Amino acid sequence: MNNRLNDADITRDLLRPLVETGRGFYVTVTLLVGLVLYAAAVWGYQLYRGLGVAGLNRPVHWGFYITTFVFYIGISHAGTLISAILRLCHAGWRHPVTRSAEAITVFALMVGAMHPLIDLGRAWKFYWVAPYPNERGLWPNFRSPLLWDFLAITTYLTGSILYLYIPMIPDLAIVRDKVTGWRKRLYGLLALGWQGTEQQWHRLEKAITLMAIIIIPVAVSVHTVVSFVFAMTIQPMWHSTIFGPLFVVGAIFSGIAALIVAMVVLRKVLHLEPYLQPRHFSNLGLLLLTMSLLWFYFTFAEYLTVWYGNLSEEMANFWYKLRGPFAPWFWGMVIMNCIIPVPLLAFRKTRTITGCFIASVSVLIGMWLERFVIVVGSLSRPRLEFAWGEYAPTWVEISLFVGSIAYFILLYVVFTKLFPIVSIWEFKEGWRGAERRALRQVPAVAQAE
Amino acid sequence: MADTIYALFHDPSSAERAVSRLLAAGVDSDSIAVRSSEPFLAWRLPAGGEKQKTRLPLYAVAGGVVGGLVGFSLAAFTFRTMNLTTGDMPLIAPGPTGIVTFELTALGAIFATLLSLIAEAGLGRRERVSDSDQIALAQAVAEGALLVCARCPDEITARATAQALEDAGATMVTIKGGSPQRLSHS
Repeated sequence: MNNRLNDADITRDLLRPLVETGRGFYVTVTLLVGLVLYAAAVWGYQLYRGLGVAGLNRPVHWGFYITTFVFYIGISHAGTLISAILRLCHAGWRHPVTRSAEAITVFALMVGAMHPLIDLGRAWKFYWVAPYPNERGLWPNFRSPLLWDFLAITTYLTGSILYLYIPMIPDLAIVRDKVTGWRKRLYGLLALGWQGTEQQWHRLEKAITLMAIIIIPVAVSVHTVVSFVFAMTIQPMWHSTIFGPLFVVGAIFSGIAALIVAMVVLRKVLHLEPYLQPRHFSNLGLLLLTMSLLWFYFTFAEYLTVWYGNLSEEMANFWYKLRGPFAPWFWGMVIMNCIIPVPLLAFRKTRTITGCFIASVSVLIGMWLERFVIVVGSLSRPRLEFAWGEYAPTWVEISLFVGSIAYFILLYVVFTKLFPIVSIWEFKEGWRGAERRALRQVPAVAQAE
Repeated sequence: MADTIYALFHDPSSAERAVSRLLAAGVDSDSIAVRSSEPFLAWRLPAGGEKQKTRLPLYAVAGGVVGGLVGFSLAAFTFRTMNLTTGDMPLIAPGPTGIVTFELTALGAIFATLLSLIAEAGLGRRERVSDSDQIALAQAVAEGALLVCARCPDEITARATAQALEDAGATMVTIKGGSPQRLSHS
């Protein structure tokens, strides 16, 4: 830990983004708002003209939108799940990481959950998936995995927002006591009258631990249920028992990658070098390496089983992906998810901040390709040969994809502007813990010498 | 008339020493409160046995049970309302019912945790602080200081307690009661 830091420095540094606004912020926000408005206009065009403006067809009725939806739900595992696991394991290095990770979860879920609405075409009918009887008095069919998805995502989003908010209350109180005017009123409202008494701290830590325990199975259930949307059908190469674990592993994999990318950018832009140190990236890099190997093992197991089974309808799908028109996407996925990140992350020399960043960007691209291969690749080769078809995205889908990325970044940038992206109290807690450990080690070292 | 003493400390060990002295001097632990911008639970500030007691886990479990019952009822009611002919299959399908029940159990536990945190930690109360001393103390806590508050039954005890706090290393001690008085500010 950096011994040059002190209480006042930490508070000042971590609150700086809230009180100082540079020109870069306005330029970034303007650019992002422009892209989001463009995407909104394109969505309006699709609503007006109908889903025909997208490249969706028979048999590929799910394309870019559902691919991107699954991708975002995957990266949403960055925060709440990783943060909860690190908290419960008392991982000392987690303190500067958790808040930025939890924010990724909330915004990825918000942006991801929009995609099924876009894919619906008639988005105003979205409430039909909610547990709500329609005009004929019929309740929705709980046997549909789409409804399970709705419930799982709603639960996870609610839990993630609260899991982000509850640990933020003490920091909101710090901001409340340091600002004036409308900001004081806003943060005062959000801080819920936090005083920082030992009783409140005790309850808060208890509540955070409880939330962490509750949220881990919810997070696992979310991506398992997302995988059920595919696995519960009898579509070749979807109807697989490994889909649940594969999706969860893939989600954590892409989630860690998203977190590393966000941390590298935050470190650079907000000058958080003393707080986000190389060891944080190295530890996350090791986690990413582990997930990369796990992902490869699961994917290999899935494809090996299909190949060994040699069922004709599955083999058509299998060869379509491995050496057919989908081969560039399939092998691109393997290269991006394994061939590039594993050597970069396996060696200490290359597991630097830059190395982790390159590996993470590669994984994010690779995991989007994985979703694309699963969704579009499998749909293109259904059971009966006469129904085979191809899919190519249109400018509408590409625009909305770019718009969704811009929207996600915009939400993150605005969040960073309004709230401390590194938890002040958690960082100080970790920092003091490290100091105490160092003090305890001094006599031992002296004795050894 | 009861007075309250506010003492600011800039390092946790001084605050810990001060609280130990107060307890040794016979001040009731319920009359002592420590405010800080970070948790010092690991430093064993004497929060007192009663203050440590919480029913948060119990409420979370209760919330989970209520959520689970709601989820099961919702799914079961839906299946029964549909008048499906299922042959020999169960009318209330265990898989979907299980998923709906699981998700709503988690949702119930999450909301129960939040609500019980608000209730037990005394959050959500609107307190308008206009006293400039109180604002200054709050700002000092936001900067990283620890505020030790002690309630004393009379002014004589308050003065003795304030002296003890100063000796323990308080950088600022204030007595608030009938007439607020700033003792020192270093």
